[in-house]
Amino acid sequence: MVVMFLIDANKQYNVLWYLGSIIASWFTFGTSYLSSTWAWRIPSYAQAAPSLVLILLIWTVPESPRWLVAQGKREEAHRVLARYHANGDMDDPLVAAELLQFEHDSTSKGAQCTWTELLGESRIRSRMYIVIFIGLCVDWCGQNNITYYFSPILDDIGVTNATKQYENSPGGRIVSVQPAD
Amino acid sequence: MTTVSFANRSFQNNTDPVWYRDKSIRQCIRCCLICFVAQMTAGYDEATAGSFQSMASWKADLGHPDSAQVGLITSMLYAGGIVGSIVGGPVADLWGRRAVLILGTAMCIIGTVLQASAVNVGMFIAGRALIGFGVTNSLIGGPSLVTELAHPRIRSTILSFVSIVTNTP
Repeated sequence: MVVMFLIDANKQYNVLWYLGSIIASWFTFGTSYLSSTWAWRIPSYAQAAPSLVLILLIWTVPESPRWLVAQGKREEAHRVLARYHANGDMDDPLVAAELLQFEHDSTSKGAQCTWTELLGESRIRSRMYIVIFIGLCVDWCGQNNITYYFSPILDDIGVTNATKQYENSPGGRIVSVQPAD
Repeated sequence: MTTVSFANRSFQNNTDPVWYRDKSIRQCIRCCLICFVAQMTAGYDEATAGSFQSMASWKADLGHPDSAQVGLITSMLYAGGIVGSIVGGPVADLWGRRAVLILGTAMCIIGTVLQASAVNVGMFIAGRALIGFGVTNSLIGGPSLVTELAHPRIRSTILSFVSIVTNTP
């Protein structure tokens, strides 16, 4: 179940990845017309914008109830669950079930999985290989080379005079959002 | 009152059957959206780093980095990321999902300032290492906090919901 949710979560992370990428592309495309040092310093500073938004608003987000239970802070977890899952009802049946589940998970063996357990048993080890292999395949497909060295590549294939338009490739990034999902 | 399925069983739950009329579910969505913001930094970073190489002022300010230095600028993000992924897991377990998210975001801000005010290649590379460290920590904290905080009713939907909104335009 948890794995399923993680897949969903990662999917959204990828989509927002491309959204950030699109914003950056258009932004640098705009500032690249400046001839001063601010051509690259403005988009560089702007990179802090999402981080600033997050660090200002994160204080309004509660800690994970699952982690709170694992830390022995059951009362606090109960309050968070009641407020965010049952409109403040401390006696809600769903909240009680979730608390029980978290308590069970934090005491069961699976919660304290070590590296020796991950790599020791051959059945689990072969699954680890799959995880590592997928990671390698995704990152070694050459996509990073293209994004990082896009303008030298275009220069080499002779798109030099259109470089201004192509170097930041804002159009290409918009197309990439769809495969990300 | 509505019935919610959790861990293959059904439970009574004090939420409105229509999700957007319910205050606690709206609060959950707000929290999840805040956690998602961090990921934009990673995508933003890769796009800017690629574009800078074609800017004459960037080359001049950093003393015309050679191809080895450009390679280091690119890969330093991932070197910082490796350190971040080793540190992030234990931090998330010891001090919490929120702590690792705050740590990552703070590192991103420090790294960004270092990178943006760089006067030589070394400063630029150091900034990118910190950004790499920060982004990886945000990636560890963000999804786990969203997954563990979201209401079971909307847990998978809210995550897909963001995707639909992003893709619609």
